[in-house]
Amino acid sequence: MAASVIVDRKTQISQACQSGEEFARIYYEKFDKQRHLISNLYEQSGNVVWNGNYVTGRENIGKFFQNLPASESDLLSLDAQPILDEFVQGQTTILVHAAGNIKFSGKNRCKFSESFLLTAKQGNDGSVWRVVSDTFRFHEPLPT
Amino acid sequence: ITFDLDQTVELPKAHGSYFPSDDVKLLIIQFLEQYYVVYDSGDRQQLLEAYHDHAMFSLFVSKQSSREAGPDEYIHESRNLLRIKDSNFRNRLLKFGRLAVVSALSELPASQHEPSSFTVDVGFVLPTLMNFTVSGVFRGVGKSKHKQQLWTFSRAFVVVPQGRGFSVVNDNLFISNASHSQVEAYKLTPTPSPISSPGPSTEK
Repeated sequence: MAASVIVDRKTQISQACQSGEEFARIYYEKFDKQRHLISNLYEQSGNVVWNGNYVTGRENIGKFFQNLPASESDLLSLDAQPILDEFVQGQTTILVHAAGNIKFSGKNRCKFSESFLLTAKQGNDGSVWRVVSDTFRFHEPLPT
Repeated sequence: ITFDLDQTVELPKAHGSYFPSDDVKLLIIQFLEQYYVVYDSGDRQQLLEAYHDHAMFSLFVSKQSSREAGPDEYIHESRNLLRIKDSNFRNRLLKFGRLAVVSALSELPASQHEPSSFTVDVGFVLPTLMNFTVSGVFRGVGKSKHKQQLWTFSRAFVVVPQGRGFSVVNDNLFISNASHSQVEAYKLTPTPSPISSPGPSTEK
């Protein structure tokens, strides 16, 4: 039994890594090039805290991102961990944490990091990952 | 007659920490104050109490330009999935269980965090689970200038309720060279002030 628990955990870890990589690739590509699609990646009741600005609900998140200037992001570093089943009552959930540089038009290129909680939901064609929470920060001091 | 396309769009102004309620704020600030006092104390063993038996921890770094001296002291533990492709190695870099987590944290270089730089963003709150991200800067501790370098970090925590507080089940730490503007803003704070008395600093 103990052995199978360990195998399960290893499987969960691999899945978190794979999904995290795939998610980050898709996310920043959509964010830069097809921003109008980005809200599809969020859960209906998802939350975003973007440089301290709180936005809730898929529709509002979509509008918020559409209103940001054009961007070019450069993902440099990434990590992902599974949240173990015992903590999420079997609702498959992963933590994805990304970092890199982002250039918004009208602002200098700057360092950012962003962490996401993704949960597996039943979609029309099997399971899909949906963002339930997203926190984003520039790595620079707050404006005074 | 022209087309009005080059309408300039502004970025929303950055704000400080986001907490959904005062209760959550109190709980998290208390936790972070205690956590970083111990974390920066030189003896991280006492962090055992902060973690769940089945806690996970990993860190990842990035070196953002070839001109910078990168976070070499952390690179051996860095689990950057864009670079580390071997799944056994990925597994090894993910510390599992309270003892393994705290022992990994104890191995990391001594640090002095800068509480006035912290922002805390709470992403998700359920009675059974909560996640939040802490960002800011810290300094290495040591005699040489090199050791005292300023780093930027972002740390994602997932926590579950435990007694009157909570315990950490996921801890994921990102470290990189501080940005130029961070170096400018925090270069003049060499006197280590305990995080137990953070609050808005009145001094420049």
